[in-house]
Amino acid sequence: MEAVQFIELNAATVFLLVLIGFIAGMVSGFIGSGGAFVLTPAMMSLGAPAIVAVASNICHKFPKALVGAVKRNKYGQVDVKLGVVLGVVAEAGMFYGKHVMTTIKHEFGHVGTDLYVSAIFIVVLAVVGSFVLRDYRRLKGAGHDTPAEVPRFARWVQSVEIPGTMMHFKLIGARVSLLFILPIGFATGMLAATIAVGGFIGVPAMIYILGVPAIMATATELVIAFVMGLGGTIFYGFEGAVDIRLSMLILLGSLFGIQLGAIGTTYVKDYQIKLVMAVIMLTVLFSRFFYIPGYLSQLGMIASIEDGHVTTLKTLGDSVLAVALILGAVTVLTSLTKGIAEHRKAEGKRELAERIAALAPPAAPATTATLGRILVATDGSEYSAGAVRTAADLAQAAGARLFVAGIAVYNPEYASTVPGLEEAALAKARADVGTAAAIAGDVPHEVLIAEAEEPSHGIVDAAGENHADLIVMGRRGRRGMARDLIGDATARVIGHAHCNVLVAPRGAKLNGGGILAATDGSTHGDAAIAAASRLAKTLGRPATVVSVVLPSHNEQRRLEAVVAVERAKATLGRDGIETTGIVAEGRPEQVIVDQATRLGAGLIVLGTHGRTGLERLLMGSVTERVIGFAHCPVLAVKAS
Amino acid sequence: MDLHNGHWGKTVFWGIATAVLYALMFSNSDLLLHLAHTTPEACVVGHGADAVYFHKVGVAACVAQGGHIEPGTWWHVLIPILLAFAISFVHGAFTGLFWDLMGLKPARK
Repeated sequence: MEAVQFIELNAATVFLLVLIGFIAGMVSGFIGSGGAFVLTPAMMSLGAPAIVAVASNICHKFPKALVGAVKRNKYGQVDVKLGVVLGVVAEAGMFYGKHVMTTIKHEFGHVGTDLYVSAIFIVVLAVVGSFVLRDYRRLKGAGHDTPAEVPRFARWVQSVEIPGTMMHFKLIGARVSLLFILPIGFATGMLAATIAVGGFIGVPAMIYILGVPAIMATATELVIAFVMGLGGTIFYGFEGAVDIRLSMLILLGSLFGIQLGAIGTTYVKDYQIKLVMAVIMLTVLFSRFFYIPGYLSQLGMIASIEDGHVTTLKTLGDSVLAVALILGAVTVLTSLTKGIAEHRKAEGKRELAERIAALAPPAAPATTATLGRILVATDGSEYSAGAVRTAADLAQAAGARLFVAGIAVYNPEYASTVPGLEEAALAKARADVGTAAAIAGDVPHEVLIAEAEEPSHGIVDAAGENHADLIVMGRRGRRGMARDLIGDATARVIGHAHCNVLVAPRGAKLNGGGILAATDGSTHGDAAIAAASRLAKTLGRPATVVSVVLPSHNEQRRLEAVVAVERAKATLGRDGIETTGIVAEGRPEQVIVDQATRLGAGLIVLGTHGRTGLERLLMGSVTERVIGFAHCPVLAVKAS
Repeated sequence: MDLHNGHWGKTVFWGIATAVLYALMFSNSDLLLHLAHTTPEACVVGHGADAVYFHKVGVAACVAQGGHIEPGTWWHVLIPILLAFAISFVHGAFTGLFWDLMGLKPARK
């Protein structure tokens, strides 16, 4: 007969519980979830039997999970359906997990459950900890947060159709068989009943097996945690194992800590968070090893160990645990204070840059050309259709003359010997222009046919002869191969034309979005800003200026980027255009395209060195890649 | 840290509400423990703060220890749940306002 012991509370234990709650909350807020994995062993170290520690931990967690889930649902990060389905199944897993725990308790007493919980802790922390460590290495190696993609296994899972078991989930954007979901939920529940942190299985499983994006997986886990926590509290309540005083003392510190930790994450890089997570997990794991010989000896599973030695080992384990906690707390607080200091410095730098920009001459308009004559080149293909629509929209908005040019491509040398070659080429060009004219519709336009050996020559010559201020053309839809990103003709026109070139992707038209202009502070950047300013004014759109720094850039280069943005903002501001500025770190083409997508930009404007051939490969790659990957038209501006 | 003027009143209100809830909980902690232990059927030995509880014990074994069997009351399980909800709501509101007042905010990115 064994009494159910709730620990004696005195000033010291109350203080320790609140402090542990605070530190665990801070760690939890910082690494996303799982601060609870320090709470269960910590409560056990203070003398609470394993079952009471687990029960009280679960009870402090569920109302917190509800508050978090409601909050993150507002940001659209929660798949409520998936969360509830997983939560209900997890409940069953939890029931089974609890059954295992109570069976062990009745069979071997508290020592048995202590040993069982410790063993599960070690296995789970070792597996998850090494996964996190691998993630850290990968993220750190990449130098930035790589864009998430659906893992290969998840793609396979989503492709499996098992009739009668399929469910559609909004946030995954796919149908998934319940047969994959049930084991995940069950395992999550079992783990939660055992060590109070089901998320260690639930979150990675959602990401790697179901293909849920990481941020949504952690948000959806909150729903599971709530459903399960509530159920768990009821189950353990019926066992008389929930010590509400323990739960609420931990909650007292935890709520302060969790918010501090969450604020901390906004000041650090993702891989730093992963490192803290891995280090803490592996240290907690290490601490558990010191308790196991004692448990085994009490159960008579190994030769009896002297009590003195058991106590020494336990003290060692407690010390390692304390080190893990303190390590976590120190890391979070250090990164928070360091982050705040750096943030203040960056803010100060921005103010300084604003002052420098106010003194520096504005980005002078490099091209004085007005938008009076627009030439759109067509080859009659679907790739040209978007270009024609964009050109027509632009001509109408700017009140410009629109020329629709078809290019008859043939080699005059052969034309004299091969009868009908020239006629066929001309007939195709006329047909192309006819198709384009139909797309332009009501917008007044003039048609012209240019003859050339190569399309790019025809387009550049036609633009020159008609004094065009802007060439509009399409882009090949191919992706992946960098060389073929935008089609050779487009690249050559940008290289040789004397005016700016607007490249429209397939199916493009001028949507209602703002204008995104990229600048590096050079004359090319200034030219882009001047052109963006003119377009923003003509179309009545707001503008966003972006300058990109590479991770390898030093402080000097970063300051230059801030100054470039502030100067550009001043220039656009003088033209009465509503402007925001962004300095972002990453690969320039990726940052520019991502920002345009995020802002729903209608047009991207950037400068080009205007080189072609071999030099194009060396110099113009950013422009070329942005044109190749953008979802909206891109204006390549030439500095004269 | 710069103190923000805005939420003093609100923060103090929620702070006091939190303190009151905790004070209520601790002044009744013996009762709460009794309720927790007697959610399932329990063998109670001794009285008040000194009571020791045993679960899944036969009547004879319990009486031999000088205790008595108290039948389980299912709704006792609701007490910690309701308390947990109430405290996390009130205390959560307080901590949010508290850090805000301390000038700690997420970085603008």
